[in-house]
Amino acid sequence: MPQINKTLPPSVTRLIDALSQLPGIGPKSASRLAYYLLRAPAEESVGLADALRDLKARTRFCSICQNITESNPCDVCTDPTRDRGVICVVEEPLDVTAVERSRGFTGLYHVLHGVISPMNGVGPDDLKVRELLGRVAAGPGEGTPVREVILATNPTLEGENTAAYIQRKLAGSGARVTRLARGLPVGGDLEYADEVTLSRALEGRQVM
Amino acid sequence: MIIRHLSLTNVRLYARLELDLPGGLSIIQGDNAQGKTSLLEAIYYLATSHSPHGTLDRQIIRWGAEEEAPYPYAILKSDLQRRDGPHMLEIGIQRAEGNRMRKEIRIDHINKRGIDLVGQLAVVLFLPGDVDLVSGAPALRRDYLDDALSQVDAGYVRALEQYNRALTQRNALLRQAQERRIDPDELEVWNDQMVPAGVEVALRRREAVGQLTRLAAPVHRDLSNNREYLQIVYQPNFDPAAPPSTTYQLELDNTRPPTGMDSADLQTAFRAALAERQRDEMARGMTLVGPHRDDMRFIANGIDLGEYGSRGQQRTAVLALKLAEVSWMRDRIGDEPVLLLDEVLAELDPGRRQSLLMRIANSHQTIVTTTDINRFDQDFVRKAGIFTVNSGIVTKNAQG
Ligand SMILES: Nc1ncnc2c1ncn2[C@@H]1O[C@H](COP(=O)(O)OP(=O)(O)OP(=O)(O)O)[C@@H](O)[C@H]1O
Ligand SMILES: [Mg+2]
Ligand SMILES: [Zn+2]
Repeated sequence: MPQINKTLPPSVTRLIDALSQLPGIGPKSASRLAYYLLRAPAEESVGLADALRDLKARTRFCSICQNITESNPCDVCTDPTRDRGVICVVEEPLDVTAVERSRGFTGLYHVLHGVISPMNGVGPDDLKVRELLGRVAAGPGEGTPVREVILATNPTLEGENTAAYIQRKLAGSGARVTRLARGLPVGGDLEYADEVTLSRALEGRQVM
Repeated sequence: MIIRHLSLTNVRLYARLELDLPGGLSIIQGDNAQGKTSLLEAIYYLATSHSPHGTLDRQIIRWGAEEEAPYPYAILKSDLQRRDGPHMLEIGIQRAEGNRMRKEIRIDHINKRGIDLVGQLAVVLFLPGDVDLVSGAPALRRDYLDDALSQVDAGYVRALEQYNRALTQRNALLRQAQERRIDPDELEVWNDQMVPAGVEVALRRREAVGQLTRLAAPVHRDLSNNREYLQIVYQPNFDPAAPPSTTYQLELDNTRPPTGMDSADLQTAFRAALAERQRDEMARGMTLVGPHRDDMRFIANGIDLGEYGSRGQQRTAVLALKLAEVSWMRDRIGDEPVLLLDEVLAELDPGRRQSLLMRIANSHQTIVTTTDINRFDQDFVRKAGIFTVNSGIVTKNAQG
């Protein structure tokens, strides 16, 4: 960080360095945030620090759906009213929130935590793909059999590719594999799709 | 179509330019390094949202602009008169935090994506360095085809984007294959993305080259005083119907896919070719088959000009291609493109110069640059709007 002044105390430069590691935040925004916190009342930065500490300390992946949760299994996975025979596969935890908002879905989820992207060094084994295959393959006696897997990855090249890969791996599993209907704008993000579009996309899903 | 007004802010050496342009012919005269090429480049940028020959966006922003603003920017604007009415194009480029670049495109004051520029402003640009198109690396000819098609065919832009993206991912995967065992399905799903897009790209390129060669041949015959017959031949890297010999037959129609093959057949053949090279691809860590390795050759009287043509012959062939591109674009979008000629006359013999001037005399809008206006004949100059550029200041000469 060449711009950072040598006269700054290490506690300030350390925060600026840490903040500028965050996506979308460059050295200039990082310094602005640091100075803001420096001037703000102590409660504000302590509150932020607590929130940051709890983020890692209190959360974990749900052992069933891999979503971020404080209680394991998560609230969705333990909800007795949900249909355990249907799994909606999404890229990120925020996508679960988006689908839940649409209220068009009553099954369970599976969060991949990314998409296959060799140029970013991400292969199937870096995602929660194996866990998904395990859920679908779990035989009778181990709970309700999975009737349907809805692949709700984003309609980007990488999202489509990840869906296609999973679909290949699920061939012969006995579960019906469907893809969200193209109500979603291509290149768009599930997270930003509005509720109506999303529930239509869920209704109109197609067998792959 | 006609560019009525061009407005530049912080573009190359232009701190600020407000320029009214007439239809028909304009001559921009000026000494070396005064801003002639930069002006044509700016117009090209408005049509394609990039500079010719892979110049980076950051190079466009005027040096010194960073002293005036923390995040320096350039703005290019044009008022167009098209067959379907008046339109406004605007592109802003700004250096953002972390040395990234931001680009905004507005059409008629509404924010748009790059692909929305297709068919808005069509230009044909001829730079002195374009002679290398004939003899240079195949990548130059692929870029030429991509740029020409991208101005008229949104389907091509989409197919090319998907192909390039899938190709990049596939290449990254093939590189990983050198370090870990990859699951065949991993490769297969990228093939599923790459193959249909690749066939689409190849088919559209074939069609375009076929149309261009048919239009270029008569222009070229004329420019060469009936001495030469030009053929521009598309050479797909992946060609299931490749002729076994390397001599070029007179082909009346090469706009269609190889005999009897439709898109589905070509996809099957593309897949077969990939399967055949798979071991090789894994060893080398890259995709070895596909339109990213296409080429295009210029043949005059059966001789490959890229290998055996004189510099003058190569220049004439490119000029014929660019002039053909004007009518090709008109056919494709139903409106006349703007022709931009940078210093072309300097390099032509008097006969060819005359023939060129006659061809452009009746165009909707042509902008030519020169260091020496005396190279043009009097009749021609009388019909043209004359501008002088001096250190980024353009003034219109009094007519007379
Ligand atoms: N980003 C930039 N900011 C300011 N000036 C620039 C920038 N990029 C290039 N220049 C300068 O602009 C000047 C004009 O360049 P341009 O190529 O337009 O001249 P020209 O009139 O076409 O000259 P020639 O007759 O030699 O071809 C050059 O001196 C070049 O160094
Ligand atoms: Mg120049
Ligand atoms: Zn869960």
